[in-house]
Amino acid sequence: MSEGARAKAKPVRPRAWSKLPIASVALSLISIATAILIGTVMMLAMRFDPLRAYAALWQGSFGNVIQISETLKTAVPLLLCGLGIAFSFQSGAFNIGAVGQMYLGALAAVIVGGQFPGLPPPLHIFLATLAAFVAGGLWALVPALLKILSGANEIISTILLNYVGIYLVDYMIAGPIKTGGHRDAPTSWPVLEGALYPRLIPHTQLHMGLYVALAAMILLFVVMHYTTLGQRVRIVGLNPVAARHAGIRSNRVFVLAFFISGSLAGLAGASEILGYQSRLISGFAPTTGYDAIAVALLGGFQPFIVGISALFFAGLQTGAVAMEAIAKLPAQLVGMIRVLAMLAVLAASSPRIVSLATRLRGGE
Amino acid sequence: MKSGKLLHTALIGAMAAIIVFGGATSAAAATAAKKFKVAMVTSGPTNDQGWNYDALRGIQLIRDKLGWEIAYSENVAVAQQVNVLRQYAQQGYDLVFAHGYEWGDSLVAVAKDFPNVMFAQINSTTQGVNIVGTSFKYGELGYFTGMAAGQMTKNNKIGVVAAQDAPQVTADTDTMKTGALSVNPKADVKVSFVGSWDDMVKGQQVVQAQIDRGVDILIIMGNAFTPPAIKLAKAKGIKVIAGWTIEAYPLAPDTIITSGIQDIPSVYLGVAQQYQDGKLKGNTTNVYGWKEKAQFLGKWGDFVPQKVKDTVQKAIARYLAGTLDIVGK
Repeated sequence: MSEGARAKAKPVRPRAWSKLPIASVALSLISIATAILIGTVMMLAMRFDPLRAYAALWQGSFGNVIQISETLKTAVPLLLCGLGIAFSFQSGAFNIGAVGQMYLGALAAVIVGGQFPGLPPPLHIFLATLAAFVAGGLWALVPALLKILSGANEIISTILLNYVGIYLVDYMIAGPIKTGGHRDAPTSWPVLEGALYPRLIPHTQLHMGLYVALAAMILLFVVMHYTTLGQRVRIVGLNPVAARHAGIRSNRVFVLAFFISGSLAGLAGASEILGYQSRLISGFAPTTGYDAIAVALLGGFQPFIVGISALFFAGLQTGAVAMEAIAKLPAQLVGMIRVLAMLAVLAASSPRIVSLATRLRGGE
Repeated sequence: MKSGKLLHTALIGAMAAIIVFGGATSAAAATAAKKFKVAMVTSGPTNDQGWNYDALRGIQLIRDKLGWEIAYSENVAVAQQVNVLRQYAQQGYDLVFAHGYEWGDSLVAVAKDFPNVMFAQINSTTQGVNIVGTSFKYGELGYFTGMAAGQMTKNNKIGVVAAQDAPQVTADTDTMKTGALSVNPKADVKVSFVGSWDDMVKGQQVVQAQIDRGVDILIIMGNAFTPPAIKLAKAKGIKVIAGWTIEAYPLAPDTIITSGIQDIPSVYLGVAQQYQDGKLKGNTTNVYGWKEKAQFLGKWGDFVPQKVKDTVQKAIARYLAGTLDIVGK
């Protein structure tokens, strides 16, 4: 049956930016310029210096090696979660549960990473990371199985499971894996030295998780474009009924897509804890899993574009901090400017704009 | 296909530009005027009328009393902690406050790279050459609230509802007993723990258990569970001492005897004053108490007899004069 499917399905080309005309790039630039303009008006109205603010935004995100490292560090979990979401969305599995899956991954990483002293560091790192991978994947299997067995809507069940994951972490760090000694708020035991990811650049927090994320990005690209699994995932995503007629077991693909998606989010959790946080506290990454949905959408579900999109989101996050510290903008205004920039890029990459750009070039 | 390549080239070009221009802009670091500058960072919103709001009031106090320039960042995610601390250090801030224990690891990481910047962490004992921790002088509030409770009780049964069985809490609950016994040898002080600063349901249960024991005075040392606990006590006609950290009088003027107040803004001012005087040293935990006006009793309830207030005030005066030992073995 798989042979038949392979023969029939024409290689589905990614409807991606690689096909886009130069006009759409121009359109993106125009929309970003619009966002900057609106931000400028807002800042002027509130009596802040926009030039200083945007200079700070740039300096804080890509201004020097240290800030670039900071941005890359922030991009790692966004990329890992974003890749997972891109993969599941392509198969039609709407996994909104990256938050919970990431929390479970972090929990597994801190449990394994904080135990077993005396393991050789590379092995310890590998085991803690693997535990996070498996934990995130298994957590994602719950909504997948609920959907298949009882038809429960996976959007709702993944959102609900996010809360379960968050509360589970809160429970674990307040009891079973609580650190000794006094702290004002519950904290898990620390990750042992040997299980921490090596740092890539001195005086920064950029860690080995970057390589993990980049490897995942390349691997996912290969899986999506050069394997039967990737092809099946897309066919199931486009039309599950047709996929079934083509002999694809769509349930199996659905479950697998969920597992991979969850395990990538689990890796994101591991990279946060083993990479630089070194212990688990309540609310260690409350919005990353949701931000990553926007990262995946903006990236058009294409691994490499998702990578650029994660870098863009991360740059806005680290740069926003500098807008507060250097240009003294209030946090709320910074938040608005940040979201405006995201909206602008999202608008520029929306299907209608893309097709308009195609027509401008003379149709296709 | 062709435009795809173009896009690709453009992206690589952009990346290269980032790296090249990046080095150039970083050189333009700011060196500001002689005026002292203080920055503060919190994990939560500064409009919470509580813990984080106190931090904002703290630096505002520094601005108003010492004339420093202030800046702050609120709602900082764990992932951005190091980034935001470094931003302020790079901007030439003299003193950077981190509001809470959760900043410890990030402070240690950043402080090493900025030996000329002083970092202060509230409620912590994090160590570093240019890191100073602060804490309250635990035990003071316990003694004097205990004295008030010991005099106010009619059946000699006093209940203490505390958050956590942790040193900073038990220092106060221990002196509550000595304080109460100093004025009332028959006082029976029982302490029970909620296990959290905020668990309102558990807080109600623990308060109810104390009420069932027949107490007529409750001392409540919590955060979010305090207001509902006061309400419950009020319904049973039990008088309450609260605080830790805020003034509780407005919550129930006819129930609150007094409040044990820990004033965070005074700690901020104290640290900044020491810095300005050149007396702030790293690798220490500065303790702020009654003498520094960082701990004190709040407004007394109207029903509290003058005699009770006088006894406590006299004891405080003796304590400040150094003739009263409140820890008393």
